[in-house]
Amino acid sequence: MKKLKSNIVNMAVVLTLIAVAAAGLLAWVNNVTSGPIEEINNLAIENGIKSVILGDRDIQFTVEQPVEREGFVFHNVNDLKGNLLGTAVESTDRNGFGGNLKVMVGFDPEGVILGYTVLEHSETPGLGAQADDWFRQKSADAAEQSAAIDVLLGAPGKPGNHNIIGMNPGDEIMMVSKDGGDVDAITASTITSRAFLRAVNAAYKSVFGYTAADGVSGASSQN
Amino acid sequence: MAQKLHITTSPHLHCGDTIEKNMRWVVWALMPALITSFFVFGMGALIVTATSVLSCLFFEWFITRFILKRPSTLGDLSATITGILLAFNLPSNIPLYMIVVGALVAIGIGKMAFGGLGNNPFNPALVGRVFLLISFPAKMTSWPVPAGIAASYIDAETGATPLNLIGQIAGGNTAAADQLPSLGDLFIGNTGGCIGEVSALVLLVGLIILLCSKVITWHIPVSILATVAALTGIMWLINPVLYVNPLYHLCSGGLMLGAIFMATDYVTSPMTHKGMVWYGIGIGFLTVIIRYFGSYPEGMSFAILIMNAVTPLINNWCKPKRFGEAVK
Amino acid sequence: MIMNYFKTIINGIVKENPTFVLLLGMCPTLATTTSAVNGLGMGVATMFVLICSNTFISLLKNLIPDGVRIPCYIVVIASFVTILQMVMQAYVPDLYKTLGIFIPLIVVNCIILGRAEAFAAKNNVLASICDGIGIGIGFTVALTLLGFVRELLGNGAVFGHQILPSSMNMLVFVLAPGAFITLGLLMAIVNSVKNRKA
Repeated sequence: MKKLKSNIVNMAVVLTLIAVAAAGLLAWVNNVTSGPIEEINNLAIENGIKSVILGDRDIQFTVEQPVEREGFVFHNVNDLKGNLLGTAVESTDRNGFGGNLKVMVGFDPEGVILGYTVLEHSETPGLGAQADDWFRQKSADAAEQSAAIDVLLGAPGKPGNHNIIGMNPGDEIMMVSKDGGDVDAITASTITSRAFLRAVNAAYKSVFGYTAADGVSGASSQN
Repeated sequence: MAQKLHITTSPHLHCGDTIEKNMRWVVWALMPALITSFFVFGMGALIVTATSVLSCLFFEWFITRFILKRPSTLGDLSATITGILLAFNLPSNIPLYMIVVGALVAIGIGKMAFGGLGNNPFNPALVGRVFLLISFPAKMTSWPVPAGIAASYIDAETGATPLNLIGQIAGGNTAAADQLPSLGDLFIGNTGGCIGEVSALVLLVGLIILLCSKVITWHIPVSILATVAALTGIMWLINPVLYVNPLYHLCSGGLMLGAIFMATDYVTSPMTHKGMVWYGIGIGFLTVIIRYFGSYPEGMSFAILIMNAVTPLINNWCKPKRFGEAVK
Repeated sequence: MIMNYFKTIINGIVKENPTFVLLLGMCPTLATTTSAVNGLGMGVATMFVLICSNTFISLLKNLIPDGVRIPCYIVVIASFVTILQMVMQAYVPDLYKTLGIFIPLIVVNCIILGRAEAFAAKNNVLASICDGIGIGIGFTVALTLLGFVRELLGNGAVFGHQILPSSMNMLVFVLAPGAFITLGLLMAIVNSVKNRKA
């Protein structure tokens, strides 16, 4: 077959035909995949809520319609009898090291933190970006190493307290220890740690109205 | 047959200047800072410096011997200086294997990958330092506080450096001003920081040695320091609560170390005096910008590397007039 | 005849390796290779689009007038990329999440348009498929290798299995500068091996 000439009719017809064929193909694929995609997206939100409220517990639960108020988003989670298991709150702090730090924190009805997850951040990789794990890790006891290994490979981190799961911001001062609080900041990432804890405190306050950290306000917690 | 007439190509006169001779002066000029850091940080300073120098020499030898298959360049002392400068940019409690990695990057990627001394566009020691800073940010940003000769290598106490505090003050936390050391301490070197940057005083002694031995000219160090002083001075005059006294900037962090020893590296700085001044102004400007508005407390190393990259352009722009060329 | 097709494939992997020799498609190469699996995923995704677009463009080459060939190629390529994106989103959501923005960007990957223009528009369908396979494998191998090195040095892991303690991770290799350094060093090694052979 000879190649078609580049006159205006040929060009318009061919391009249109190809575009129509492509559109038809895409419509069909979209039709096939839209179901699974929606399922996966719903599952992702549900899993997020599940992980901050239930953790490892295996309980049947239902999630109420999310409520949005004053920049916070609340997801109430009930068990099958309708009793409140806890509330997952989406909270954003605008003064992270690299900008917005958005977390979802789960509180039980008494205000004890059940879990959290970092939804969005722009913190430094390897430093502030550790927030996703740091505040749920129980710090390991310093392992015994010989001094030679310490010099060569570095000493293990000193034990400290930075596991916020199980703490209650209403009773405990959820601020970094440098500012007079009870939580150890991420090594070399105090700014991120402050932003993270501010977001958690704000989330708690939006549900319960006050935090223990309110009493300890220093200039340093404002930056 | 004995040669009666000695024939050589030009040059016929030689002032006796060699790479090795210049480099030896630089090593001498660095010694006061090394000794001071020993008194401030203890054995750690010496261990880190020795490790850094030895690994730089090893990689230089290994690469010239086995990869490039060229005669050894250990004798020109440039690897020794890279080693000392790299160590001077590290905290005195850094694990040794990180120093070895830094030395490999400095010599292998910073210098030899481009063809060895004279061909490297960036200062090798700074390439090594920035690589380590990005790779191991936690270790590279927790600086030991001064604890004297007896300071322990392993359990060194760490704390905020003056530059951390200056950044915090600029961020609105004016309470941090109380923790700033006095200017005198800063000048003599009684503050936290990396090995080579603690004492502005002994670095200035090094500057005098370098100037007297004519290894460097005054243009680069003076233009950097003047630019930093001018810019921070203006900001201080505008708002003395948020922005500290320019003297703090001059005496803290790696500014002196960078301005005197790193920015003046022959290979990576401009060739003409006019070019050197512009290069210095650029470094000073970028340093202040990064210190106040960047995400790292110290901007000196980034500023020097950026201006290293601009050096060929500056050279092109500040070409000296050819002898006899008509003045337009 | 068969030998020729085979040669086309080998050519794409070795002599005209898109990453190490042609230096095409650098954006996904540098951005997505933070781990070996990501590199592999990106490579396979690109290979799929490349084979499909080569096939169709070779089939349609006489139907498409020269004046509108680039828009036509782009429409064909973009369709396959969109199909790929939807399929990945539906069935491999985790990989889709990590590769993220770079899947739609396959549309403007110069390898694909480059092969369409340089090869598929001039050769028959079978040869074009072989070219797609060859270049695709070459790209995949290069990306996986790059991802492997970066993951090992930056995360201390091999295909997701931790083998080095996390304190030894060199973060720079996970970030952009590490991508450039690794690519440069790998290219130096490839060239030095090639020169030795020649």
